[in-house]
Amino acid sequence: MKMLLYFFLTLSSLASWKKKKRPDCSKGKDHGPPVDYRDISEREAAFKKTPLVASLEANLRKITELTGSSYDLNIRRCLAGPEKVHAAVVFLDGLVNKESIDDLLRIVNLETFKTGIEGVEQKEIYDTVKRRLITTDLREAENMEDLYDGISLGDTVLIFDGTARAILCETRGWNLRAINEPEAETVIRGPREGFIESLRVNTSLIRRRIRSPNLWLESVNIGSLSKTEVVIAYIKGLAGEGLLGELRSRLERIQIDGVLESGLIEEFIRDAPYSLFPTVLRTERPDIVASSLLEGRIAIFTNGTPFVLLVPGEFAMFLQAPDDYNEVFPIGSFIRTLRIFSFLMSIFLPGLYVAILNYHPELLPTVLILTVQATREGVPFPVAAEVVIMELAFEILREAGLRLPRAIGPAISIVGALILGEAAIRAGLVSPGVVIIVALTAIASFSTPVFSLSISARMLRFLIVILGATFGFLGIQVGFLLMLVHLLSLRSFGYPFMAPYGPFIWGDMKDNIIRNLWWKMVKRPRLLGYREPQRQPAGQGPRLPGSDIKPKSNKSEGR
Amino acid sequence: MFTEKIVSRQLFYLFFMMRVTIIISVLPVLTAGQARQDAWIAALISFFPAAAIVLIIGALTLVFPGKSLIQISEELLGKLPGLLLSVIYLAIFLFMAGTDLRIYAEVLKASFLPETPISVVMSLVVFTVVLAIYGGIEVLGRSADIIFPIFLLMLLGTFSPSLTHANFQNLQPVIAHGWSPLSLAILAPASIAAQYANLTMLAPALDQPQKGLKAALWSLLAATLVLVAFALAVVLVLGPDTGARSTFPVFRMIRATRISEFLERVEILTIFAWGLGLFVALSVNLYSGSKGLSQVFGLHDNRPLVLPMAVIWVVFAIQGYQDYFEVAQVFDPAFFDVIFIPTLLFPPLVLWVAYLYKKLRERKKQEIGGRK
Amino acid sequence: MKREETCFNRRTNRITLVILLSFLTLLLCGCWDRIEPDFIGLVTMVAFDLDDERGLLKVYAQLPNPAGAGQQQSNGGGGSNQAMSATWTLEASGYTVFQAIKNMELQSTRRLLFTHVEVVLFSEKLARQGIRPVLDFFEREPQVRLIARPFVVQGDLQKLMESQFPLEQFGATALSKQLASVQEEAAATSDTDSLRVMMHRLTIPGWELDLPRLIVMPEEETKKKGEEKTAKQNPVLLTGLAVFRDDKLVGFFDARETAGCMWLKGAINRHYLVLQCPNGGERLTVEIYEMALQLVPWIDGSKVHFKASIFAEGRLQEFSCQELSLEEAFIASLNRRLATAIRNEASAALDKARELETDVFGLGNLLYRTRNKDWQCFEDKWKEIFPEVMVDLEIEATIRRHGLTLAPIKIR
Repeated sequence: MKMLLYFFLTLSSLASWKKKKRPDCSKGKDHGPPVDYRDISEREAAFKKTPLVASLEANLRKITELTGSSYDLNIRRCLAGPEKVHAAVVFLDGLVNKESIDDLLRIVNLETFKTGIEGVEQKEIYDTVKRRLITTDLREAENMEDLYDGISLGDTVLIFDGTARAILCETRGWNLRAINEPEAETVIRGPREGFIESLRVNTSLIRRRIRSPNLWLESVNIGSLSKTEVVIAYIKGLAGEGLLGELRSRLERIQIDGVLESGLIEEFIRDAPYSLFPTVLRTERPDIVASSLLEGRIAIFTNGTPFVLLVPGEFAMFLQAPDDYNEVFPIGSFIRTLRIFSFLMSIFLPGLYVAILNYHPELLPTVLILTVQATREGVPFPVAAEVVIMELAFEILREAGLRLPRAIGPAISIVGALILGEAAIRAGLVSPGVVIIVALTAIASFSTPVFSLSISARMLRFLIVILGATFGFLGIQVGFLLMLVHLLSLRSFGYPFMAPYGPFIWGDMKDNIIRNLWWKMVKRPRLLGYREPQRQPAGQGPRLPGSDIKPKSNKSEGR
Repeated sequence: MFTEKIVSRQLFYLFFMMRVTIIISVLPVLTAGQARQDAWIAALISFFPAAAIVLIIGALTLVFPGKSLIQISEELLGKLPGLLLSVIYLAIFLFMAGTDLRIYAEVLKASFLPETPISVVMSLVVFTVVLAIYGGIEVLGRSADIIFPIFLLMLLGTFSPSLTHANFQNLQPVIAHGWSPLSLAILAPASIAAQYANLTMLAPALDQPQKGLKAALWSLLAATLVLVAFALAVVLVLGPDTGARSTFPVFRMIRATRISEFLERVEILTIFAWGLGLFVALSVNLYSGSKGLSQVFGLHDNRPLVLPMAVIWVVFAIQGYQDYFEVAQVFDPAFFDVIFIPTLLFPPLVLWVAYLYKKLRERKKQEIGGRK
Repeated sequence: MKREETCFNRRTNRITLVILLSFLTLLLCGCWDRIEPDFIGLVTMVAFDLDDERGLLKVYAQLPNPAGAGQQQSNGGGGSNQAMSATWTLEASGYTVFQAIKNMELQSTRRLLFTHVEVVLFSEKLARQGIRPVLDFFEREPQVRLIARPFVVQGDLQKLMESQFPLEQFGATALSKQLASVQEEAAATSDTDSLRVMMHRLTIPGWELDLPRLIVMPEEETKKKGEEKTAKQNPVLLTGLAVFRDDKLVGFFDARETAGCMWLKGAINRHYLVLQCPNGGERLTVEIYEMALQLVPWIDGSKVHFKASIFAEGRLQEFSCQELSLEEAFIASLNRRLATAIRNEASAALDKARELETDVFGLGNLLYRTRNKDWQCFEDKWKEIFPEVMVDLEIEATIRRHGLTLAPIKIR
């Protein structure tokens, strides 16, 4: 009879789940869940306060009352032991592994009937079962909050009549995306693994890379409703304690109802919230996270997103890619220098083009300026307008390309890039020079490995174009200085953002504009790795076979 | 309180760029006096009087580490006389920044932006400077870190191509008319060492204030070498006469250099880097000025004063000189050596006298106390 | 500490915003010096002449036609551009250069830009009157660079400005290329290759100016030009020196005298000498590729002497003298004759310079540089005593190599 009632309740709650949100509407109805005028915060508070009681029926009633007997909430009743103690198993369907629950029920039902088992009476059966359970993770809950925390993570709750506690067994099992190479951060040479949406898997990817007990993972729950698990990962003894304390206090300060992506946390913990430049690095690649941890940085994992945050962020990090380290060092240095150059180009090139054509034509060789003049005959717009229009068109194209379904993406980019550009030149709307400049800038901006930095470069570009069109090189110089002063005044968790360029740290230059040989990178970054500057012994360079000279003492290369 | 510190390396960069920027723009060893092809010798010798000026001003920072000139004069002379003495220095900062700014704006106006109002050009430059000062002395030191390599690259990029046109016959005859024509050419760059007055304001911001004087002297030496190099380059390429007749000799030298068809007429790039140096020079002056003024008023932060002072500076740079003829007169020895240098050296000398007097009296007191 | 920081940040932000906004208004009224590329008339060649009738300065400016230039580069120009010529020459007069240019602007649809001036021409008429009035234009005006190449034109200046070159599109490119190649290949013109050198030469003591001389080809050759699009013949010949005294042209050196002048300046880059075969009427050619000069002054009472030692190294470039082989004795005699040929050239240059009373070799400058004390006695009257100055020539010429063959071909 009761089961029928529950079934009915579940059905009705399904039917009226929308109305449940607005208790006023369901006022005066005879059926459906009982009308409840408490708002969300009151409900949450009530939830926290409710303890478990000794009566099974009371507990189950409370659960259904608090969760509104959601349709995925499963309650399976059973009897345990020869004394037929009433028990119930509660779990959320879809989050659990059904086989684990079968195992659980088998233990409760069968093991307790085995002969020669002590303590199967109502008082002791709880402890007996707890002892006999063979699941890996087992916790206890004494109030509704802990209980629901467990269920919502995929645990299964075991409640016995007569005990005011519940056993939480780990029975998680849901479908996960496979570990793929992240699409936004591809490499030529390097691991193909990328983070996925599951926190556990993500942290495991790091554990597999750094097998030290000193890799510590601290967990915090952020979000009053979402209760998102956020994990701080660091290497104890390497990451600065001050930095850790600052990060913990900033995370604790966050009071929000839900954290759905790490970008939200990033905005809360950023130092310069109005800055165009990202001061927190986000990545999908475990190798980047691992190498940052080894430098003494801290990683912030957020459940439900593959994007991991790394603090403190430094400008140089945003222009580094794993390939730099995996390729031999001349190639690594070359591509890195190239990337820095193309980053600057992606900011300044259109502005320079406008400034040169409008203010300093003397910079161009005679033949070139004549060609530019010739191709501009009949173009109705001034150079600056032309550049701005084309840049905007390109930005729209880029954004559209991002949102388009995969199947028609290439088609649109062909239409946009080729046909539009070609037709615009043929119709005399824009000059070919501008198209070349815009295309070059676009290509340069895509070589920035981190999207958040390349997008800020894109926005700055328009400012530089305007300044260049107003004051020529003076404007560009002013733009450059403004950018420089801004970048230099940025700090990420107290660490200067532009280090090691400003403040200039010679020792860290080995891994900045160029990438030095691995065996020459003897020291850790100075500001971050100050706790133990020595990373590896010096003098590990290749030697002639047979010559067994001891590595040089650390001081000799300690520059 | 949140204290901002710079290191002596950054101080070196700041002073180096500040001095090189202005000293290269007008190249006083060549344009002032009659040194002509011996300008480089004059440049070399000018180190010694300049170093003397730096020592007189800078040694105060060794005696009173961590204190600015304003604080020192208050301590030695008392509130009001000290204040009066400080005002001289504040005026000097104002004067120097205004002149630097005016010269830069004149270069731009003479060569690139003839129609843009000079006030707009100046405001733009000062705008960046103001923002830098809002960032604090730390930001200033760091921008020096980043700008210095760019600046050095510009110096090299200007200097080395000019050597392809070098005509070493231009250096002859060496000191044909004795040393007397050199005297003015030696004094002129030495007088510009007045910039080192900033040391008295910057040294307290150093993490090791005792190292400030050393860095300043090294920067003077480095700047002197650069001056020698450019005095040589201009004479080698343009000849002593054309060089001495120029308003901005180095600028003209670059304009007359042809590296290849693709790399001619590139002097705007020099102006670009020069502007970076000027940014540093102005920032240092503005920092010193506002810091000094805030100490006079007893404010703990100099930032509220920055914007009003910057506005006053732009006005001074525009109104202080009616035309470029007046700007050029600033480097006239009649003004610089007769009026400016005594004014510059007056406050530190007074302080030295006061300091020694105080020391003497203390010793006497001790002796008297010892007898008792 | 923390509170103070945030306080400061908020205040800074607000102030920054106010400053930013006020500066953004600047942008609204900005763009004073902006010029769109299609409003620019690019001048690549300037020429100065005298307007005899009115006694004014006449200035020519040559502008390459961008449409003409583009036509060559991209084939999609369309038919209408076909009629356009590659360059356009403007002409105007005025008391000053600037006035003339402003008068020129009245005829032009575009703003004249002098940043790309590559070639500066002086007419013979103007040069004989003195080029001083136009010099200041190069120094004071920021647009013109001192990298332009100066020439003195003998002949019809206007015709040169309007003429077309067989290989080059624009006169300026043609002339600067011609100067570079002539300077590289033969010692037939001046080594003054830019206004910078010209200014320098004008300002140093004891060294008169010499400029490259352009001779405009006679009328009949270019008559065809109107009918056919392309020129058949280069309109101009670059040879010899235009020699100045102070800023005034006093005469020309022909190719031989020019070579002699270059010997005495030590500025020979490459030069050739044609000698007669010792046994007949045939000729042989020696190319000089290396030289050194040592000039030593000495003063004998009130007279100045110079001793010029010239060392030349050559290569047998052409040798088709019959019945001769390259023996040591023969080479030695060849060397002697080579030295004589060089001496003849140098003497010719010296004689011509004495005749024109102008010290183009920089002998006075040598005194000024190395014997400044003595120079001070001669400084004022150097121009007068220069013709009496004795120059002793001592020449040593060596033929070092003979090319890829030993003996010339023998036909039997």
